Amino acid sequence: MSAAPNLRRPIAPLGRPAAPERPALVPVEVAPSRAQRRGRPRPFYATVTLGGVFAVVVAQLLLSLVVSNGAYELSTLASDRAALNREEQQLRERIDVYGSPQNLATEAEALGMVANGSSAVIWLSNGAVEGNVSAAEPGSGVVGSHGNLVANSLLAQQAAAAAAVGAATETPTGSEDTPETATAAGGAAPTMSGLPTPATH
Amino acid sequence: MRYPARTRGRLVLALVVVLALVGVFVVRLVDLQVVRAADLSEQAAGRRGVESTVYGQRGEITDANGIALADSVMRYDLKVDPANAEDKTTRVDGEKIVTTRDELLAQIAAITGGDAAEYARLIDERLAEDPDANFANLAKNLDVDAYNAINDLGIGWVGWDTVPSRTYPLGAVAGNLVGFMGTDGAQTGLELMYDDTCLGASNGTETYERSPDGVRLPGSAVTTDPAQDGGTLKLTIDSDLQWFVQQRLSEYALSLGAQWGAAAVVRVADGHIMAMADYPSVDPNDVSGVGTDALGSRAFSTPVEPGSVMKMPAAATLLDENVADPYTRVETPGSWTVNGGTINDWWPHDTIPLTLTGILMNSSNTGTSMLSDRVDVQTRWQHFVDFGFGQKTAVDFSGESAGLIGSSGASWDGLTKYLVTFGQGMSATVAQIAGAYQALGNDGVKMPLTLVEGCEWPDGTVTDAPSTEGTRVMESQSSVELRGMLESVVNEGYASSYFDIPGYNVSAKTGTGEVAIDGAYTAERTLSVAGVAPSENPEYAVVVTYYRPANSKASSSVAEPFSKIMSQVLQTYRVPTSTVDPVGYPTTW
Repeated sequence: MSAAPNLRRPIAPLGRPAAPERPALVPVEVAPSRAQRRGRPRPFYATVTLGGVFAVVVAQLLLSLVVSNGAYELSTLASDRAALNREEQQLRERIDVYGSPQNLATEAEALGMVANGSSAVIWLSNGAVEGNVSAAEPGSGVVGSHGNLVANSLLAQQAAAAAAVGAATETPTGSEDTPETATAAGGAAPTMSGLPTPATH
Repeated sequence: MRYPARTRGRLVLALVVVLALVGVFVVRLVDLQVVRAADLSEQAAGRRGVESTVYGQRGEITDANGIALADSVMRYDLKVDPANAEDKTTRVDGEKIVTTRDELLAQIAAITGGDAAEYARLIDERLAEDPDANFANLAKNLDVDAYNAINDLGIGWVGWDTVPSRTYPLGAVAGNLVGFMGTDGAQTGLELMYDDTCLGASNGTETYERSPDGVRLPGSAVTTDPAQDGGTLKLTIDSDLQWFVQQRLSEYALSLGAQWGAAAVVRVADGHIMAMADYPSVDPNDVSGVGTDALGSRAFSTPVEPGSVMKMPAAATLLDENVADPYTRVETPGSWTVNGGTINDWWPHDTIPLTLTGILMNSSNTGTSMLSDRVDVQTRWQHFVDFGFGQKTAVDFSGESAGLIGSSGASWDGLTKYLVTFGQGMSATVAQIAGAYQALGNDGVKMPLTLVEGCEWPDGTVTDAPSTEGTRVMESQSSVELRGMLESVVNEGYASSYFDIPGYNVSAKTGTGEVAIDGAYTAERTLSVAGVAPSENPEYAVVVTYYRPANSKASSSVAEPFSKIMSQVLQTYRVPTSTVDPVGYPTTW
């Protein structure tokens, strides 16, 4: 095609007799209706859709980054918890053993505490005192002259373990530790008379 | 719309191809997701998943106040990787410090208390077997202290196996009752008795996936089998009192030179055992301290001929059958020959006038024997059965004995029917005696002897609750009279100077049982004191027994530990002191 076509009045090309039966094919365009115009794809939507897909991909990426980061944190926290559980167990065990009656009795006696074997009551109704009112005698400890006879191998073990751990961590050469420093090194609760090692039979 | 034929043909072809593809995908999908799903996911889990054991925790055993007598803890077995057990190089201030393998082993041994040379030998042995060996167990059962200390050494080729273990924080306190765990599980005592119904836990498994660097993939944990924790077994024992009773029992066992001893403290109102002590006491943490025969509780397992503590149920029979009262007069000979045998009193005397009270106070064998003829043997036997003799207590402790009182009254021969009135020719455990004296203290109503309050489960339910149904074994009036009569044993009897329980009226009976060895009675004795206090309104029953003491043959020597234990019990539980005078029945006429 040469000249810019007149859309309204087509003109036959010069020099040649026009073919009378068919008019030349001219590109025409139907004026789109309103609905057609509206139905036409618009770049805006394409942008939004593509943008959305991209955002989802990015979000997923970020999310998995966060999740895997969380996994490491979770793993750290889990091992922290395990360590704390171990520590809790260790301390509870230690408290339970230190709280055993034979240890308390031995410690109490070492502090000079005495037991009064005689009982007396005051009746609140009339203020009367009944029973045997007498002070405990010095040396009337609850353990007695034989020493503690109810064994608890954990007491000695605990002391030994604390000492060993103290020796190993503080002084690898294995110098003699006094019970006090061993206790401190092992993290054991300090007691008034050093570590309890009752004489057992 | 119409398409030309060629176009239609293409469209149909495209459709067929698409459908065929979809069909292939569907078949493949069904194959993967349904047909081979289990197989494939198993393969996948096997490739990526890690299965770990979730440990169920064995239940605690606690005393009445919730103090743990047996507790579950984790212990750690130390393993090493022999193939990689190498020297360790550290840099301090840019300077290379090499710690040799054996030095590292020495550091480990210092913590475990083991032998470094032995460790080295173990590792070398494994390497000799297999140069690529990556596993050898060095030490077992290490606690958290050792675990932390060894980890702090920073050795790359050590690792751990976690092992659930058992610890007994109070040592030998109630050790004979609690029992212990061996490598094959529960060995004896309550650990064994309640292993299935309460304490036992079952381990579960958990599968999760982890990344190559060992981090658990989030959300991948699959608990295939949940762990079941055991229940908490709560005892009636008071651990502080239990220690006191064991301490006193052991102290006097040593001074008396007894082969063994046992003591029981029972709350009269409900039959709860506050303390049940055995000498020798076993420390469940280290059972090697005593002989194998002392691992259980002799108070339950070992019946003895109890001696005159049986005069209590014998006298109760007389009172209940209305054939005697505290004033009943008997011309009591020093010895009585009957049915081809001779019954002697423990002290030589001519015929003396004694009341039934006097007979109990002096512990006259001839007196109780002669009076017993007033009741037929079957009735007497039945009274003994009612008091709990000849049958296991409600505790049904592991290895408990029922003792022997014969199958019926008729099974007692001409002499035995008298011997049983003073506790010979029959046998009973300390637990049975304690149960009988509980009935005496509880105005004649015997409560089932109770050691276990119940098993509490993690969800709060309680099982194994004991029966609380009592049975009347003697009339209330008889029990009041009998307690009045037994006050005379403590206040006026031959052992009265050894009883010392200031502030309280106490009803008690001594017993000196002759020990039969190889079928013949010997000079060996079983010494006992059993009693209740305060007499007018008893709250606690106490029994103390020593078997074959070398240094004393008289039950008066048991009055002292009995007094100390009874005093402590009354003081501990804040029992008001007695405000009434002892009854003071006449003992002679």
